[in-house]
Amino acid sequence: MSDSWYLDASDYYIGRSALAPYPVRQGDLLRVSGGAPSRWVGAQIIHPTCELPKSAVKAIQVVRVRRLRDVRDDFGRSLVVAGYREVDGGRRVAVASTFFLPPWTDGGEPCFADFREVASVPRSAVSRRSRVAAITHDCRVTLIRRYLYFRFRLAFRFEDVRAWEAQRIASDPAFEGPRPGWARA
Amino acid sequence: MRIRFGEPVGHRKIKNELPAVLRETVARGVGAPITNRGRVDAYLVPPQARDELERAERLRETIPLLMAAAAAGAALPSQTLRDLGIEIPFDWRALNRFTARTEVRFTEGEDGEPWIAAPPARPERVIEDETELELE
Repeated sequence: MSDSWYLDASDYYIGRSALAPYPVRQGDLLRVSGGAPSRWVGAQIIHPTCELPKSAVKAIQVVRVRRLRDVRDDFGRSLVVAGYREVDGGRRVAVASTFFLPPWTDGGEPCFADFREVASVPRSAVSRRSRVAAITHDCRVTLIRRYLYFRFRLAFRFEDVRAWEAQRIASDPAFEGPRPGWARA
Repeated sequence: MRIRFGEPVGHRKIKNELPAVLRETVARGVGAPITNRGRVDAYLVPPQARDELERAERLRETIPLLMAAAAAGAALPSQTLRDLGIEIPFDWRALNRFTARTEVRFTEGEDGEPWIAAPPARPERVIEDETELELE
């Protein structure tokens, strides 16, 4: 077991050819038109997945996606990519308000989600058509874990967040799309 | 780690001049070997030496991680590597690959608070009521 925050870049996204059966979920990346988020590089859905299909939900919460090169220097960029740093011999969480995002297209550039910049977008702005990348189930576990730390300063191990997520998926009668191997029906 | 030691101090002097010896140890920030019949049997160290020893202990656990990062060409953000003058060019791919594959144990949260992970999960099935509020 490791406390490391992020997966290898190759394990982040569902491949384009396999994308069809995956509904839009928390953690997926969007290109938003209209409002402030239209000026962003992209947006990451932070709204709970189980809320997305509910008709009572009129707006979906997203966070801003920024380019890694928006960070002024390489040291700051290394903090974003690692999510932790060594200080005085200790291993300390770093820039908890960020979630590293490797490129989601060939030739794309690395980015990160900024949990501090939240917006609500109309639910019509959130669809398969506006989705530019879908994250894997494992990647969603890392997102939930990082977000829990940022939002509530609660420290959980990856394996424990995954166990909770597996139980949630197993209990969800409305779950759509391919299931992760670690969450049986 | 920088714990410096001064002249040895004998048992007799410790016994007879303890307040002065302690004052001098603290003021100079220098430790002193305590000797008995010419043999060192203890060390008197200033308070800051304890911080240095604790730092050395933390570094002992972290050095393998830092060495592995350097070997992998991963620019792991590290105060110790910077203090040693070791600069690794930033390459997001090398750093991501390294952090994803290398085991690490955090010691502190972002604000320096102790890293205390929650106890292992024991998830139970939750039945959620789907009633929505009628909002004006």
